[in-house]
Amino acid sequence: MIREFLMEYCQSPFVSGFEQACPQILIRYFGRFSDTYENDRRGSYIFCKKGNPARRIMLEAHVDELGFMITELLPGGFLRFSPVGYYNTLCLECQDVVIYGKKEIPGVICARPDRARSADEIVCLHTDWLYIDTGFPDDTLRELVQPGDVAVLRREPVMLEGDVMCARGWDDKAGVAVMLAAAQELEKLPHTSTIYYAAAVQEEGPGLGGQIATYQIHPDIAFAFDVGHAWAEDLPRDETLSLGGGPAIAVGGRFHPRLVDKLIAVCREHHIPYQLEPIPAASGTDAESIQTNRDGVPVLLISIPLRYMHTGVETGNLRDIEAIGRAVACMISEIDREDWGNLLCC
Amino acid sequence: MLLKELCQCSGAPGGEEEVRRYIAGALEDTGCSLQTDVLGNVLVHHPGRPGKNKILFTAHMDEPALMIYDITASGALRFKAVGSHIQPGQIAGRTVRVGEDVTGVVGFAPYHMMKITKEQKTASAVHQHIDIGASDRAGASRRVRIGDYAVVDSAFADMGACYKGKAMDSRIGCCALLELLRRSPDREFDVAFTTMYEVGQQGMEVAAYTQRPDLVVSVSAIAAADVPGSTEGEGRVELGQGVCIPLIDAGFAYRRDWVEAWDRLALAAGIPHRMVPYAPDAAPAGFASLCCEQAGALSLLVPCRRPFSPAGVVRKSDLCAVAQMLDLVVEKG
Repeated sequence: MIREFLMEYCQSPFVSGFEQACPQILIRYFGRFSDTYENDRRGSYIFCKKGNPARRIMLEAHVDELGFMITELLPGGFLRFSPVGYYNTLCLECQDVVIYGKKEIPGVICARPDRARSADEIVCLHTDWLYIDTGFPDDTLRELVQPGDVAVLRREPVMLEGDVMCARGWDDKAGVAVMLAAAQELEKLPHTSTIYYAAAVQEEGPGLGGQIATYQIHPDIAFAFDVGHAWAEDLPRDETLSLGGGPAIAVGGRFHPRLVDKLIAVCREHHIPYQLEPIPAASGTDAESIQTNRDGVPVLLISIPLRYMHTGVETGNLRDIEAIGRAVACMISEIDREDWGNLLCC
Repeated sequence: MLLKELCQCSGAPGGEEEVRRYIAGALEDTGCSLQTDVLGNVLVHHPGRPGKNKILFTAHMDEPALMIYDITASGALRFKAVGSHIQPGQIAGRTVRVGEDVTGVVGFAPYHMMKITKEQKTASAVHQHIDIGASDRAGASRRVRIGDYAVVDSAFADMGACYKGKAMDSRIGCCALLELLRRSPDREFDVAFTTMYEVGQQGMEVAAYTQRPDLVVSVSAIAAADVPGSTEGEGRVELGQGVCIPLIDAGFAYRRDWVEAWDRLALAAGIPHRMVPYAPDAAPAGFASLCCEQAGALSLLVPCRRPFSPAGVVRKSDLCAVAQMLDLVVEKG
């Protein structure tokens, strides 16, 4: 099911600030495992599986992905654009895009012949040296596209060897898939808490969706899921995760130490391979704003190992998603039997 | 659709099997005789009324590609470019097809982990690799062999007035000549679909020798510069200008009086076209003429944005113009 879900979800546009175009995908898959659904005022998708109202557990991942925004129409059927979020601009030349104007319009990203880009620009992610070629005559294009329209890289997800999938937007659609995997596993396990599945908007922008969803849900415990850099050729082993190596459990001040210990114990008990991701300071994920919400929320961050982050060919392993889903479901089932006062004291 | 299917074939220089098979299939019920020579060229004889000259129409089948030269311990594939048209920046973050049916990703370090120096302006091929999802060398070796070719994936798209796809330089030529054969004008001529253009035109060299034509006419692309950031001017090649006929290209100087004669004929027939003083790529026609001293040469070029990239764009009206021009050559040549 996770594979089918991602195949469909990864082809649907969820650019930050433009997450409301295809809610049906989420409703269809999460609806089976939840009792209520809300699209909050910020636009986040919140599903709730009712249980003990005094014990609320929130699973959170961001629903949005990177994309582009059209900024100017140039003569000759060309468009200027800005990235929404931090795309790796090195991977954009000659890539296909779909522009969501009056209708879906195909285009290709091209490099300006007169602009040599500096090393700084590559890191700063300027797109001044790029433009989109639509092949349309000017007047037709003006009717179909206007500044402010969004675009995404066109990429049909493909399966590589084993359970490795290459798709656009695994960051953080894989996180949403983890919530689905956990929901599926929880069906098989006894649990009594109320479970919220929050697919939050705008992480790739200001990160507001997760903060507001958390405030509204007011959870006692939160699990955040986002992607982490997996090792690929030419990268340092010591700074990366292992693809297919199972849940990467973040360790550091931002993550509740008792919950971290508990999750490690659960993984060991259930023979789920796991890896530790030391994060000394900020994680750059929604876990930050969850932790400092209201009176403070004990939060865990579990990373899905991912190769080629912020390109159009984000590559991950479906087995990791399933393993994380199982670990989280097992942990929820276990802590349900415990006294949270004890569990959450530091 | 011919062009779409041709563009989607994989045809590395020296690995044109798919294109060859497709061409053979497309000519099955045309009554043309078809043979493949030892270099892999497809030679087609079109029967009909004998004409003034023995004409050989030609286009190349191959496209810029990658070759696998190492499989690392972790199962990643190292590659080298085949031919000079692969640009690292244009293949970064794409999927590629390795061999017949293995999909891989051209991966490189994410910017979060890049230490970019001032000199290092684009993703260097040294730090790129192909990831097929294998977890070790043994796993990758089951699907891929050292020496296998890889070509980029790029979906063919109808963009209204234009088409977009990979391998445009070669496949617009193949497409125009296949369509000519299928129109089957009453005139005898030959067609050579050649191999290894990207690595030295070895296929053309042999085909020119065996066919010994009086006139060689090739169809390929010329880079159109009507894009943001290029200098405007009268000489600029743009989409929609019709067939471009060069006086000189990187490999050959065409006989001016002949080019001018074709220019007049095209003008009289109302075919959109223009002469261009210089084309930056050596067209097969000129090269064939060098290999076979008897032959006159005519290079027909279709304006195409980024003809060797994964995202070539051609205008439909230019494809019509080149078809008309081929008919004119069949009639008058």
